[in-house]
Parts: sequence; C-alpha cells; structure tokens
Amino acid sequence: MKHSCAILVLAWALTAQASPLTTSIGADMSGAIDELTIAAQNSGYQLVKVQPVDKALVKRGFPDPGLRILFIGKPSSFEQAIRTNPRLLSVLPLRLTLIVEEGGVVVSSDDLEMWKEMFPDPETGKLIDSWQRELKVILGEVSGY
Amino acid sequence: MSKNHRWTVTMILWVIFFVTMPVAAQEQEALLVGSLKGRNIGQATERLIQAINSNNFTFVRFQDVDDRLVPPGWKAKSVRIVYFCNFELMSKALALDTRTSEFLPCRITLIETAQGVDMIAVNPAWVSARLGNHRLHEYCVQMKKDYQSIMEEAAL
Repeated sequence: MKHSCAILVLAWALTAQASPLTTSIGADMSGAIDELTIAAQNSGYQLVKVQPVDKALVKRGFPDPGLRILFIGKPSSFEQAIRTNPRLLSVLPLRLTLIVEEGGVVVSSDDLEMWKEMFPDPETGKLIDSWQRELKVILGEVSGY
Repeated sequence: MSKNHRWTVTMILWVIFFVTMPVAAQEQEALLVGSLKGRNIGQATERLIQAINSNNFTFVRFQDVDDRLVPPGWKAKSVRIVYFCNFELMSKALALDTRTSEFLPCRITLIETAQGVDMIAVNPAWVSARLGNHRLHEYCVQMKKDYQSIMEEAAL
C-alpha cells in the first residue's frame, strides 16, 4: 500500500498542472466588478465587456452558475501581440472569471502558464510573462495586498 | 479479491489516468486554424455566423479586437472576434467543472491577410486535457469537432 501511495504522489507531481491566478473579493458580483474595473484602470487596462453567463443561462431555463466573465484590455497589448505573434490574438482580450461563492466572489485569470505552452517561443513567453505580472498586480490590488 | 488487492488496483488505475491525460493533451493541437481565401473580414464574418447557426450554436456577438480600447476611427479593422455559444452544452460543462469558463463563450478570431481571412480558435480539447477532468474532456472533444465543422462550413 505504501508503494502504491508513493507511485500516486509521484504521478501527481509529474502531471502537476499550472493553475490560473486566483483571489477572492468580499463583495457581491456588481461590487466585485466595480473593484476589478478600478484596479484594471490603475494598471492601464480598460473593461472591454462583461459577459453575464449567469443571466444568459437563467433566461433560457438553465441553473444559475453564478458566473460572469470580464474582458479587459489595453491597446498596447494588441500591438505587442501583432508584432510578436499574431496568433496570440486568439487569446486576447485578457479574461477574468468571477464566481459567486459564500461570503464573496472568487476571481480567476486565464491560465497564462498554459498559454506559454501553447506559444513556446521565448519572445512570446516574455510577452505573456509581462501580462501575467500585470494581472497579478490587478488581482493583488482587489485582494488588498 | 482481497481488500489490499482492490486498493492496489485502484491506485494503479489512478496512476494510469494521471499519466495518460498529458499524453492525450500532447495528441491535441493547441490551436484550430482555418482560412477563407479571397474574402474580406466582413464577408468572412457573415459566412462564419451562417455556419455557427447551422451547427446548432447561437451567434452571440462580434467585436473588433480593439473595440472600446481606442477611438472608433482608430480601430484596427483587420482583426475581429466572433463569439458564439450552445447554451445547453455550456450549462452542462460548467456544472461539471467551472474551469470550463477558461474557453467560454466559444470564440473564433478572424485575421485579414493579403490572401483572405484566417480563422483561429483555441482547441477546447487541448485545454481540457490539461485540466485533468476526464468527463469534461469528453465534452471538449465534441466541442473541438463542432469548431472544426463550423470552420470547414464557413470556408466552403
């Protein structure tokens, strides 16, 4: 049994997956959107669109997932993407997923580590790293760090 | 079978599962790509929306890539994102795993080139293989086929 557990832990470690940046906000959905919009603006980003997945599903008779998606962007990101690797345009604008949970809203970014796997060249990797740093600042600001 | 044996078999199955999921991921291409030769971005958008509707998806919206980021006159007209959805599929997938939101709503990016318009989308099966949820992956393999079917029909 000990051997089996060891193999399981090893396999788990080998297949460990990168995870998106996550934080939580002690507010309701609209309060969380407001806080994120301000934090994004402080980092030079603008709110492009709120995708109300919850409303769209409830309107059609499906259960409420308590989930909305925020699209944020800045013109320079697109210019950098076009210059560095136009295929990066398939993942822009950056997205933040908001899920209502007890006591607040959990916010997750897209998994940018996964994008680095998708676009393995070093130049694109550097650009993705810079976006990831900016997302960390935005999420750090709303979580009060 | 003794309790110890059952435990060992369960562990082995878990190991096989976690080792084979990344292999499945490697078999998937990260991006799905198609092209509409000799078309401009307006024509490509129209054809794509028709293909979306005829494949049992609902067209949600399209936006120029820098929409709301630059004044209207400065917009790059050569890159456009088309969003679409199958609400039943989305509801089921979110119930299985909220990380599905990583690739929802469905989207195809159109990039106008000198030869026509390229269509690019992130392969949902490539993403789901990395999330390690086998049941979600089954949905995403189907979703990948739907993307391909939409792109092929638009390109006809």
